[in-house]
Amino acid sequence: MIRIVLDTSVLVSAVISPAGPNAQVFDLITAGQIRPYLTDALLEEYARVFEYERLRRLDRRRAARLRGLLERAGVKVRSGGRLRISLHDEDNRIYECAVAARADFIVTENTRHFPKPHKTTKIVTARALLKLRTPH
Amino acid sequence: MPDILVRLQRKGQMVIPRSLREEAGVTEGTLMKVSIIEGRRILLTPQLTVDRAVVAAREKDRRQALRELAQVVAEIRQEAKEKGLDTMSKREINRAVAAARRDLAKATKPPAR
Repeated sequence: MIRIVLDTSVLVSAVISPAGPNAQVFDLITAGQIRPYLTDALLEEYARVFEYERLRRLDRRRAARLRGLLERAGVKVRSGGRLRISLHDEDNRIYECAVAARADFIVTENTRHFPKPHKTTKIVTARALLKLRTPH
Repeated sequence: MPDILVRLQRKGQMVIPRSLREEAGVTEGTLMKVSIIEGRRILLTPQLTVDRAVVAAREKDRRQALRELAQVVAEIRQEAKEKGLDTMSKREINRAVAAARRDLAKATKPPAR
């Protein structure tokens, strides 16, 4: 099964709207076709983002439930230590999760923040991931 | 660590010295694979044992969680549509992520001395 790490912006985009490639990738997760990997740091970020700006208007219990279900549905790994690959230090938490998970892909909308693939992990947008899965 | 001599006892039993057990991270009950290599050498390899019932239960829970996740996300999408959040721009989402990260960084930063 394909192992992915979702950047937080992809998660938010997928959760608030059923339209677009981010939502399609998320729907592949819930269909059990690809598996998300998580660390505590990443889960914390996933939860915290729903406390900001307009996202606060969503039902708090649903947002909390989302975090719990992601934790149960995904595979939690323990980061092996701090990495400094991206110039945006917070993005290194995503790399750390990907390394611990030996993930196939980091799925992000901000590919510029992830300057290079790391070990076995490729950096892709949701659209690119969907394209890779489509048989030629 | 230097090699340590141990004597083979009755019925082929032997004691792996504590220092070696600790170094290899093996404890009582660890399953060991025993192989002959290069004719006369015996290689012991600790095996990872997995309880099938635990794995099966975890997989069942994961499938259930995926179903519930699909349901909750459908509810959030509906709510987001009703509140006009489904049209949030990429820039706005990135701002929310950046704010969350700033807040988390502050929370985890050690206090200044």
